[in-house]
Amino acid sequence: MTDERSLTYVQAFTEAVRLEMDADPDVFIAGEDVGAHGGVFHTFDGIQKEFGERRAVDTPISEQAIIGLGIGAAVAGLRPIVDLMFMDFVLVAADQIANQAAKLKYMFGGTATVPLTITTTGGAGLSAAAQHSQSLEALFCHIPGIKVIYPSTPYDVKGLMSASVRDDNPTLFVLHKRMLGTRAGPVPEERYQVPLGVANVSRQGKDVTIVSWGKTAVDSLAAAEQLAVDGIDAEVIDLRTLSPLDIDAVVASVRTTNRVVVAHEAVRFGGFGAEVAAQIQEHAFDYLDAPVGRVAAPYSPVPFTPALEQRYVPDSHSIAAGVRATMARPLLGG
Amino acid sequence: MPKLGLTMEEATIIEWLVADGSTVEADQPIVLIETDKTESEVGSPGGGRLHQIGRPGDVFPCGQRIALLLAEGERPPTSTSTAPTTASTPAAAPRSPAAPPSAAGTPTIGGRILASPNARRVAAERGVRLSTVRGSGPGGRIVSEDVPEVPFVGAADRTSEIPPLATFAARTLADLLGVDLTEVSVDPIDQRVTREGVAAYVRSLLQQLASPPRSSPGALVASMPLLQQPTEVIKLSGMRGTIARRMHASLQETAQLTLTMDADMTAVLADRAERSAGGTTAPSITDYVVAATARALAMNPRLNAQVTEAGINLLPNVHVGLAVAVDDGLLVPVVRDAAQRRLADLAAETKRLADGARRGQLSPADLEGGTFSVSSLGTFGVDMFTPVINPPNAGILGVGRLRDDVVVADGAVTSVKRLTLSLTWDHRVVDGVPAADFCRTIVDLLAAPARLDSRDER
Amino acid sequence: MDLTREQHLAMHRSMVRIRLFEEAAGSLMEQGKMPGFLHLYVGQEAVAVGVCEALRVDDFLTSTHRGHGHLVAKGGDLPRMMAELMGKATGYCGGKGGSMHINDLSLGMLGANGVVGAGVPIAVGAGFRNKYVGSDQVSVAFFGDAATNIGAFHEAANMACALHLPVVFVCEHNKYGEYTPTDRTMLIADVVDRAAGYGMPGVIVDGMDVIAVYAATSEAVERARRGEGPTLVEAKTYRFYNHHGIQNLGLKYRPDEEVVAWKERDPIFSFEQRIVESGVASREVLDATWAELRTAIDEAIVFADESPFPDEDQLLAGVFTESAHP
Repeated sequence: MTDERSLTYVQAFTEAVRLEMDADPDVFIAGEDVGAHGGVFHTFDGIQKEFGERRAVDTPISEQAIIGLGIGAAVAGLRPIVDLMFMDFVLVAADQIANQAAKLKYMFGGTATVPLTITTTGGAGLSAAAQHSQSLEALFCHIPGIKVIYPSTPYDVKGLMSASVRDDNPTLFVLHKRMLGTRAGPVPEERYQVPLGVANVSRQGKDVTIVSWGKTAVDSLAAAEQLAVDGIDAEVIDLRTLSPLDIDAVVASVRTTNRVVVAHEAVRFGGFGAEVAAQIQEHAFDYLDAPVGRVAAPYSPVPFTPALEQRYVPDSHSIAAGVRATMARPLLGG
Repeated sequence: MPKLGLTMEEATIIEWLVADGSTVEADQPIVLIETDKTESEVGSPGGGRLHQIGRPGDVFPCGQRIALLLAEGERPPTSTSTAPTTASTPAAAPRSPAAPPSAAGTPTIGGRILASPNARRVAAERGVRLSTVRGSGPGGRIVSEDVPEVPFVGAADRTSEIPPLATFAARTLADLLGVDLTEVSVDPIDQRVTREGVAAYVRSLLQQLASPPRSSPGALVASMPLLQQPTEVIKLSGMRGTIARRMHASLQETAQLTLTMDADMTAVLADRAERSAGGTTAPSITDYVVAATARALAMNPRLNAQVTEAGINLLPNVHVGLAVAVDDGLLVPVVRDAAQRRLADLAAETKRLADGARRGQLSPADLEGGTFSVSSLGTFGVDMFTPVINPPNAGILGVGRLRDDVVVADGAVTSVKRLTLSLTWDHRVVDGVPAADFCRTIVDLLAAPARLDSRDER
Repeated sequence: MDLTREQHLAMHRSMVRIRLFEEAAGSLMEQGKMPGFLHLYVGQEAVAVGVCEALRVDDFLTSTHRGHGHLVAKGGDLPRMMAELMGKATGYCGGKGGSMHINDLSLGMLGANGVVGAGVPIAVGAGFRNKYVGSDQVSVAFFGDAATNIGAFHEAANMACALHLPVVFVCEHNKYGEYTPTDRTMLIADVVDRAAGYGMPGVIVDGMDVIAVYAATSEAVERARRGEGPTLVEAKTYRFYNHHGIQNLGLKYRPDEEVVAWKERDPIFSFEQRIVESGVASREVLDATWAELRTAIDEAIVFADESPFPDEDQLLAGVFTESAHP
């Protein structure tokens, strides 16, 4: 009988790490403050205690070298998990991630294998200001050779993290830093995987599709409840994996609802929602009753002061408003 | 409304021959109609309960529904708009400027109905015409929810009800002047009628009133039903289309007529023989005519003219076009400064142009700027014809067949070589006497070909 | 240092192989028979060979954009190398990488690299792996003098020292970073001055003397194998040709006297002189090596010429590894 136990988002992550390190001696973690401190977000609590310093390594503050360490170890036969504390710092390590890790297999003609998992936390809403609050997933979706994962529930965190570690490709695994303490449903004790590249319909509906990921996927569910009060039945799709993109799931939904809004926390201009919207209109043009809507952050760095940051980040209300705009039928007063 | 004759376009319902709601059989006469020629009974296309839509006195165009045949138990649709057209109903008068387009029914942009892709797909599946649907989406866009499950029977095509898209200023001006907005062209960028557009329309109307009345320009092609199914349709495009349009326009827009005059070619032939004997290639008969025409134009500047709104513009330079037959068409390359060329040079130029025309190698510069044209059908056995002026010239000279003829002079009969010149000229520019003088000049020049080899005599 | 006759001849052979390969490749490129551009190792042969002679087959190394020499020295297959430079399907990377990504994972040669200094963190990662699994394998990072100015080098050097990893950092100090003399872009003349900054020993060695390189590297490698951490070996050397290609492109960024002076210290010819003068082997033996390797190069070129280009279906292949290891 499965225990209906719940874990927080971050606890589910740690559990996945622990189970993977337990299952495979080639798995280790490396990063800033991940060993003795257990990670600034408690992502790696208890790992070094359980597995020792050899397998839970505190590195200097050297993002390029951290990723390089992961690449070299991976090519030489290990299965590293390397951590970049804030998603913003992927830019510091961009050469190693984009020019080296993502491309090694291809440039070497397919001979190399780089089973490297890069973990990080992203997102705004904690007054961490512009350089510690970004959502940069679009940048790496754009680089062939790296997979981008962004779960929104503890269950998915654990299953997708296991799958990312076991996947033989470089994967960028993003946790939303505002979700770390949230609980949402049971998380099985055993080791399991959620497949990469498969979206989840977290709420079924018939009037409109909301496509999202990360924290915004959770806010979309709240938005759906608000909309339901007004008789709008929204279907919510949580992509879970951004690259490779499960466009089939989205298209199947849009073909029945005929209206769709993509919601994400990243900046609207050039955000990953643009790719989703482009693919939707490619595959479901004749099924659209309205243009694909996007609810996302405006074109500015993340402001520090809460008064502005609250306006910056999409929430359930702005998502619901975006849906209403897409549903609008003025002649009926709607 | 059936089409009972080739030229039948509409008919009036005189009376229904059976009561509304009665059951009828196929071919049973159900209604009496009248066309502009006769009265006819119309038989039912099938069996069923008759549901009349048209009323006696209504006029329906052929093809529009005048009644329904319902199956047993089937109810007639609730929508009852019938929209029979009475003869020449004016299009919707300009509305009050306050009415926004979205409230008026099917929204259009530049004539295109605003509808979502999904609405179009659903409408196509259901056989619903978008012009019959009112849109509830933003901007009046038709969304799929607006498309009914089945087409409204007899629903009016709303495009006829839609007032033309126009600016407030346009509507105000149109109201003031009594202009029908549907007559005014839509601004291509703005995609609606503008105040400037209304003003331009009125100005053109005023111009038409001021200039000499002419029969309405009319379309290039009169619209009449086909007599038979054609074996081939040759498009009026490309060179064919250009010729069709220009010749048609020429006859519509000028007051052209033709006179003929014979020219004695004995001297020309002698001159030709002399040149040949001298070892050079002799100019053709047509070359002599072109040379004579050019010099005659130099001496009669009134014929080297172009009519514009300003008046008769006398053009200083004489460029003579020469009609050249090419594959399924004709081109008129231009000999520039024809009056200033010596005969050999002019002959070389006409050869270059004719060869180039036949090979399709002429440049645009070779084909434009002609102030007068010469067209020869003589080699095809034609003596005289009525050539059509090549717009915007004031005249064209047709050249006929070189023939043996007899003259009586002082009681003696001699044979001469003659051809007929056919001069078509625009009576707006010159009258008959000056035209005849001009033609006489050409004839005189041909009788003294030495004068064709000197520089022009102006 | 006592080396056997076999070792002498092996190192000589390796250097000649590099020299002939580079000359041939450079000439083919400048005739337009190779796509892209090549960075030639001619003049620096003693460094690659001296270092690799101190390594085992199961030791790792990462290389630079000037990487042919390292792959040859590690035991690379000439036909497959030539085919890769020509972009053929039979090349080391199936034609998908070219000169700057040439590699042989089975020899532990983890690739040349198109980004300056980017291979150094990767070598450190391989060194981490060696320590992690408890093996005495070592990892060598090759880089140039100018590369020590890039952030990735600094991070990697520090990381290797802080984590006490079995890495040997080999600096091929050829006095130039692309077209700019390094004495204009950093104030220290000896890169080893930085070694102390990371907490590792540094040693300068004559990069034109293959035996000296071998000796210094052997020491560093043994230190690493014993778990005593990284060493920085700075080999003073010189590339005889341009940053890329052979011709100087009419650019005069190196004084003629300088080039001439270094050429007089040609690593191969001076080694040959030593071999012959010390009686280790005769001139004929050495000449025979040259002849034999010339033939091998020719055969490699023929192999590459006759090999096909990759099919179009290779364009999208190899972006991801399809399998996972559940």
